[in-house]
Amino acid sequence: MIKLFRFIGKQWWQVVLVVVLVFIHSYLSLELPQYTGKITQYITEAAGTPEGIQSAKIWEYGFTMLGISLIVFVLMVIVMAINVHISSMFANRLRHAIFTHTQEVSLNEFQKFGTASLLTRITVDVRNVKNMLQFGARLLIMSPTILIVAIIRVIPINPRYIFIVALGIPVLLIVLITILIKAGPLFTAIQKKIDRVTLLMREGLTGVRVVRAFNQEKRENKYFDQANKDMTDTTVKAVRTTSFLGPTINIVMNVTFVAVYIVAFALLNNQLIVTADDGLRVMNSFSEAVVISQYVMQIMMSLVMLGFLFVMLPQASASAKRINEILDTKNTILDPINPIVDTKTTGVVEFRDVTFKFPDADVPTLCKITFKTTPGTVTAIIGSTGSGKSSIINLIPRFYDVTEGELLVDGINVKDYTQNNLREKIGFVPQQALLFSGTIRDNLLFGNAAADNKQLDVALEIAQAKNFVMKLNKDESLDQEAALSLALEAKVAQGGRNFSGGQKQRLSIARALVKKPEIYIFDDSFSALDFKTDIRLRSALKNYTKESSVIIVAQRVSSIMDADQIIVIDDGKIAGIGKHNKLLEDCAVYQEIVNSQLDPEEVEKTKLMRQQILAGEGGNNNG
Amino acid sequence: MARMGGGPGARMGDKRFNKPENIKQTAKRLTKQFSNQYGRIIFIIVILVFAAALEIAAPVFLRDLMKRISSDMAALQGGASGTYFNFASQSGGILITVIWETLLKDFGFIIALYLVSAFVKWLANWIIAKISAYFAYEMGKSFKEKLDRLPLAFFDRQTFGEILSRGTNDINTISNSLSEVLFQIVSGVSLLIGSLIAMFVTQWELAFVAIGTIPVSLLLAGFIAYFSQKQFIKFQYKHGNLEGHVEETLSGYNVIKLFNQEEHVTKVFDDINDDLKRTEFLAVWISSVVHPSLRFISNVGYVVVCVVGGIVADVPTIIAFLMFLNLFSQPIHNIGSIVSTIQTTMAAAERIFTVLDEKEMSPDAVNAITSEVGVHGDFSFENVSFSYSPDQPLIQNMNLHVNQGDTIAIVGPTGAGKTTIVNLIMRFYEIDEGAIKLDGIDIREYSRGTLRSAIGMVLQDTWLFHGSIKNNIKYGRTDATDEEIYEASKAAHADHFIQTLPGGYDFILNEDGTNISQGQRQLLTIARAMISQPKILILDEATSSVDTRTETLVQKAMDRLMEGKTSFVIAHRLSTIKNAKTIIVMKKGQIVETGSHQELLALNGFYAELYNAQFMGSNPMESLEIPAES
Repeated sequence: MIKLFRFIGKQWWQVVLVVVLVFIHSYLSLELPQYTGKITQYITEAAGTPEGIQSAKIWEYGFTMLGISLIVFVLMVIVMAINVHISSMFANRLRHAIFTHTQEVSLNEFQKFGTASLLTRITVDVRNVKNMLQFGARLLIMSPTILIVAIIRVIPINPRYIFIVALGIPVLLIVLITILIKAGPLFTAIQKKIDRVTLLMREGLTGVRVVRAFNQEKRENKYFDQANKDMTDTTVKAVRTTSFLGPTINIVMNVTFVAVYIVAFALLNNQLIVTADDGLRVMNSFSEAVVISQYVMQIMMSLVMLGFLFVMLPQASASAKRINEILDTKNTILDPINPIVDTKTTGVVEFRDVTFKFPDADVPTLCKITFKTTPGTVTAIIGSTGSGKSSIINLIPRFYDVTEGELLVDGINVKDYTQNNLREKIGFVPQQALLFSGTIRDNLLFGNAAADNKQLDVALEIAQAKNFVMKLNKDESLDQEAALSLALEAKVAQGGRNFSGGQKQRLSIARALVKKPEIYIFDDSFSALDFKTDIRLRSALKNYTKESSVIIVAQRVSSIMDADQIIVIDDGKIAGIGKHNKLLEDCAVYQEIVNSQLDPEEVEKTKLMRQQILAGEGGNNNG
Repeated sequence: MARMGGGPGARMGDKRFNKPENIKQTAKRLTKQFSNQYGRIIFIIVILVFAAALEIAAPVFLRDLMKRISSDMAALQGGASGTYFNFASQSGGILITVIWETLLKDFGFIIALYLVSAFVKWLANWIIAKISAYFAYEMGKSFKEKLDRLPLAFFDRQTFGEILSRGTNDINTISNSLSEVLFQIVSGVSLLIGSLIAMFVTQWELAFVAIGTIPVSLLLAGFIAYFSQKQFIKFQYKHGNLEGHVEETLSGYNVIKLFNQEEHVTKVFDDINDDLKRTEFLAVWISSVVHPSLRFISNVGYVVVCVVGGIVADVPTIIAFLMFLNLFSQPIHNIGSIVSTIQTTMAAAERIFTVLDEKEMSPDAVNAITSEVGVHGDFSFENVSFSYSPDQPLIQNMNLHVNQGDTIAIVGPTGAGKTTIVNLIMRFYEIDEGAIKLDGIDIREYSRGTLRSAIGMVLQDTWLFHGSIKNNIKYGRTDATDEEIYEASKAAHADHFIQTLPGGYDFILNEDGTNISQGQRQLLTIARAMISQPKILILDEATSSVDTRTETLVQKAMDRLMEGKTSFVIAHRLSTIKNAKTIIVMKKGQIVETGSHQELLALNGFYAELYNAQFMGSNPMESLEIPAES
């Protein structure tokens, strides 16, 4: 956790200020008992004198006490202001650091944590560490200060009083520590058991159909009951263990309080009063006892505060560890020191004997992949689930680095570009269309922040999305241009939930089109479209992308039948490469795939129907 | 998130400001839940009052003791004896000796008061620990059992998170706050009243000082709480914003990287983060002022007691009063937190009771059929009507007959009603009109358990639980032998991939089974259904996530399984249902066409259109422009 303190940054001087102020605060607040003593002393003494008790004198003391209380109060408010300021700035910086770091690391590191865990770390864990800083720091200063100052105050009165404290403290500490040691693991265990109970209840909810279908209600309840009982028993144990703390503190404090008086009187025992001053001192021993008992209480309280600190520590420590885990994660995909910017060609992707293995895997996912795409052509990649198709295209934008071989874009190794530059060249449409909350315009501008309405218009048309987009925010009175502007302002919910699967996909495609990249990569992106839309889209796409390289990954043969080159992947290796007809003849895997999807005669029928549609419908745009 | 406006999903993290609807009723009902513990609870209340009385008595006795000591001291000059001290004249002065027996006896009594009080409070804590923990246990149990009796429609109405939070968080909230509320209220009230009485009896002038601090403290605390509350609500809202942005950014990690949006996304984050920091500061600082303020007021009271006491009374009274003040101010300082605890507890209780009050499914018929013997699989739907919600009619007047052993395929676009048929056969929902008969007997005359164990179901939703692969497969039939498990697994083409996992069949699947792929999950659910040896099969998109090659292989096993059994197959891949005896084509809840594959193609209607579209490389079944459920 100490490592995280660097986020306090330039505010160190404020921390010092807080330390100083807390010190002063503690010192002053320990002055108050002195005045109680002064008053009681005065009363005791004055009672015997001829003038008697002068209320003016008492008021004098009173006002001083009030003054000190006021200063103490103001000091505390100031301290809190600075303290909270420091800790909220701290939390702010920490959150920023975690967030920017997550943006920098590569996919592999990111997936190690997962979204949920990262979210928890940026919220809960930061909060725990911040609280530790806020309360912990204060307690850490106040506690020893009070302890030391109180002891210092007590000693001059009579060192013998220290003995009481010396007795009380160890007792308190022993009980405190024993309880913490015993209860600590119990509370950790409770957390785990709560997790289990929650898990079982959740499974019962998510799987309610399956549970009922297989008549497993009774069994599920039995497991749940076991977990519930277990959690309950542990909770009882933990709570009962900590139940000793309160009474112990109480007893120690009160007994000590009483003991002070007894010591006071013990000190009086066998005293010889010779002078009037002696007599006075005897009378004042009472007041002393009053003062000391209050100091002793303070000492005990400060120890208890330290105890709480120790309770907070493990949790904050665990959180700090989790945060450090993220901050220490090193990025494995780094930009080169001297990146190359200019290229001679555009849109050429070349795999040379590429082998790829996931960082913790034993077996490579891809083996000796070699192919090349050129602008103006369509390259299709097909293969069964798990064959490695997605991995191939994930390598191009450098989500992962190749293990062996070379991956070149425009003749230059992808590692020699800055990641930003490399990704500028690529328009990627992922399998699951993901939109962001905001407006349609916001989402489209992702492709190119400087795009104007005209460019957006074109992209939407080609993606076959214009029709349904124009239906949003409809206003009959506006002309074409204004209507488009208005339509683009339509709201998009998180993930694009308020649109159907097909609509999301088309918007996702439009987004890539706005970018007008050199290389298009479509990862099974047409699956949610109906056949008419699919055909029209791909034919419009053909024209628009004729200067770029297009790479399509697909499951279905019919999507890719007329690609310029089809790459068949099986178990991470290229099983065949070529055009559809050639592969039908000499690639066994391709034949299997085709046969599992289509009847031979249907292949012909498909061709016919496709021609029909294209001929019949011309360039009509039907959303 | 692209340009953050109001922010998605502003969440009220810990529902701090959830005001319950009807506190009185809920409180009454909540107390009833403890009816079997009334004895213990009353006992606890009594002893807590007793402990409070002792804590108040102590200063009273202490004061008396000190008065006597004071008077002893005053008698110093006379060289006499007192209660606790002997003053003996000696050459040159007066010798003081302490009469230890009396002193220690009287002090001892006071210590005894504290010891007993501490012990009693500990005892109360000890007892309460069990009561509150077992309350949570019972509530959790009732809750879970109640869920089993609720119709599926209930689960459709809300998110799992909602229900889960009630069964876990809300129950925890109540059990945690139980002891706190009981203690604070009982002790607090006792101490407050007791110390007030003691103060008045001891020195009424000073008592007024103490009372004077109450309204001031309350006003101050209330004032501060009002301001800080506003800030806290703002803080929760903004924190929700932050979480929403972070969650969305992290989920869309890929897309952000692909479109070089890292910088933009970070800037938005920074804006929210900085905004949050300001609110955070205000909220925390303002509320942190409460404690020092209350301390200050206590100190003022303290000072006034000292001063007025000095004028009006004597030192022992001052000391006793300071102790009274201490006892008195504890409950006042805690009022704020008690009120909010009660509010949260009541809100939580209300949420739980809402679930417990839900209408349950009708129980099984009195003479329900409980044996699977004689179930053949002859189905008929007679004038069946059903809809999930009354204003959206789905299935209307449907008639269908299925012979034993037939394979029936159901096709149609999303939302046509295919899965609904399955839901009705399994009696997951009750039909509105008509009857579904199995072997001529209305399915409502079978016990649900019997009906469901006769039907083997493979769903599109591949639910697996946290446990070993073996146990997950065994879920189909708990008395299956290992041999049978391996057989079913091989037939489902799952055996191979299971062997490649560390631990093989003992490999532990995590929650939702996410440590294997979707396709692999589906194979496991198929194995699970296979092992249950059903008489009737329902396959709903059973292989939709499996690639076509593997599907062909699994199909063979499925065909063997379906042999001779009545099977209902729902599939999007028309290639898998071509060989069904009868294909039912559904559209918007109605059966529009029936027949074999060849017959339907010849009709050249809806089915033909769907079929042909399939081979264009797209899926017409998901083409309807219906916005997804939000």
